[in-house]
Amino acid sequence: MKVLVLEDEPDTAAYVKRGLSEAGHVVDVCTDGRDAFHLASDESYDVMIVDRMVPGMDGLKTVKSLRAAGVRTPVLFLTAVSGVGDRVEGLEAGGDDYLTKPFAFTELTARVNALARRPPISEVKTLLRAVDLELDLLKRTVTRAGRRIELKPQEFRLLEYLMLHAGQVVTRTMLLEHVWSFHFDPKSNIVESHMSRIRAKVDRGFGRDLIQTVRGAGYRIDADA
Amino acid sequence: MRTPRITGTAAFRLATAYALLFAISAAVLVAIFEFTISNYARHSLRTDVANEVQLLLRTAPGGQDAGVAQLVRERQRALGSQEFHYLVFGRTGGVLAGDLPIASARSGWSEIEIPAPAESREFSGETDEIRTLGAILPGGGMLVVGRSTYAFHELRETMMSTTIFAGVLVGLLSMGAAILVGWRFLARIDRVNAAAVRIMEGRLDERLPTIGMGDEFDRLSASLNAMLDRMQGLMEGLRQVSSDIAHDLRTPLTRLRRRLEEALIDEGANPDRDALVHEALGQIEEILATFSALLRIAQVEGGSGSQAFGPVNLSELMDRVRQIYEPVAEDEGKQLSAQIAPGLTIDGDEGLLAQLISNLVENAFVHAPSPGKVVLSATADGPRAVIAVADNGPGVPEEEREKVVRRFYRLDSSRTTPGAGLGLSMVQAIAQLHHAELELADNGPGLVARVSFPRLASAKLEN
Repeated sequence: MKVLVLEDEPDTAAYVKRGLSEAGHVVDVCTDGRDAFHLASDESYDVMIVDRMVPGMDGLKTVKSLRAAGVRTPVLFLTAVSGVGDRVEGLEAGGDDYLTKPFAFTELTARVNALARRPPISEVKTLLRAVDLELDLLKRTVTRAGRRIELKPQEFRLLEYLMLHAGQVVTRTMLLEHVWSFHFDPKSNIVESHMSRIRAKVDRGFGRDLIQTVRGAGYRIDADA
Repeated sequence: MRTPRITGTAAFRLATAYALLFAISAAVLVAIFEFTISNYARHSLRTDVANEVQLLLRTAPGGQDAGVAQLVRERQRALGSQEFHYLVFGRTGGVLAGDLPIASARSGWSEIEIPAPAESREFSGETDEIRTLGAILPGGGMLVVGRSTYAFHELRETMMSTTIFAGVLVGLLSMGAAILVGWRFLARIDRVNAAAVRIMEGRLDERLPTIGMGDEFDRLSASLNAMLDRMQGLMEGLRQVSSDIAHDLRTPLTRLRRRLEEALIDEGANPDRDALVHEALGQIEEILATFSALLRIAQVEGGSGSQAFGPVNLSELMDRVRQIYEPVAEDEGKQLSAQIAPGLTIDGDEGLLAQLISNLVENAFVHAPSPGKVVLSATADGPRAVIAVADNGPGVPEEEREKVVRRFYRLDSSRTTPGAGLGLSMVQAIAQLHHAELELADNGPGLVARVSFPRLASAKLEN
């Protein structure tokens, strides 16, 4: 997967590049907003990681210009700009996700993977599948191996997010942000509690656990056999 | 600080301008007045002289020269020389009566100068201007009656000198007033300046004195003082935060440093270095989380977030938070229940409000002993929407209730429970951003935290 990193701080750029390269991605780094605009304007990258405060053209403006030019490459803002309204500003400029510095690398990889493999909007599915587990977004039903599973609304949302990213690691923060719109760090084990309830319903008595805990990173639901 | 010269003050300049305006209007007024008076005086002089001529002609028996002369002499005796001057001129050319010179013997209106009478003469050779009217007598002689314009000139002169005197007086008075007003104004401004200098020198509790030159000036100093109050509050907050950070982050940093030192010392001997590193990372995460929380509180207190306000259904949000925390409550052995009135809508930021409720719920979970009871409620109270989170824990003693919303403040009894003491500070900051009031009260037993929001009028919702 090809990743473009727009980051003017050399340490961070090197750290991101090394980490993503080790994970098997091809990484280009540029330090100027205008360079990033030219490099990315032919949509040759799968994901862009953009710092907001860079010389030339700032990150926000770069993304706005790219979107205005019709470039749809997913963008992850990776920035120290972490004010209350800054996240919304980033997403409104055309960003797809927003991660604030300092960050854990597992968090960054998980989010980059989630963005890169996102299906195009035209192919929005109404039926999600993970091995023998099926989630019907229209009927709001879940079945495993043909057997109906009753989920509470919050549990349904959590499972939906996991299955949208089947085969990928989703972190605790990603779940808090996308499933419950919690953009802060709650002290309680919200994710763990909900996860244990979903597991009890989805995995117990089926002989195979679809939901995996990835140590130090998050959770993953198996995509296929 | 340099005091400006009195002539440089706004009050002085204003007063001078007014004095000048007064002087000009006075001059215009005097000119109009003088013109009117002169006209009137001139007219009445002519009327008097013409009347006198008519009177003499009519009264004199037969209008004969001698008769007129006789009458004139009688008039002169009766009236003295102040009223009229006369000349009666016989047909033969001789002066029959009167005191006017021969040169004045002209018919119709004319003017002549004669030496001024001795008693009213101010210098030798001063002349008196006489306005004369000559008429031919039926007997062939001539009658001339004249009147001095002296009184008329006198009036004009008096008026002129009075005007100049009054003008100078008005000018001096207004200058004096200007200086007085300017000086008073300066003295007051100086007091304000002195107070400002003291504040700049660090006496932040000092306030500006009232200027006292009318409501608008007092309002100005009142607003400036209100601004100083706000700034002092913010600065004290800032100072408190800095010392809080210094104090409360030292503990976890010291712990972290010890862990890392242990890892270094035990190198080789300690097979569990990975675990140590993980533990250290965990502690860094905690410290960073505290930093983020502090930053967020500061941002919310600074008013950011209010730009993204919109209608938020508080009832739905409350129920959503309840659903999110339900499994957590079960896991922790707490009983979570809710009584939520539907349709409570307020103006706010949904994300921040979610954090407010979530912080209150987590606070209740931490302090309610298992098996604890936590009750969420949302009710309408007239124009306000009140949410409450109640627990049956030990509660907060009344004298501590104000302090627990401070950053890092923790009751002695809760030192052992997890948390950094920032939850309620965040709640307070979010509540204030939403013009809401946070109240901590006794739940007998336990604590009930109530937040009362102004409700959004339904008309505003439809727009």
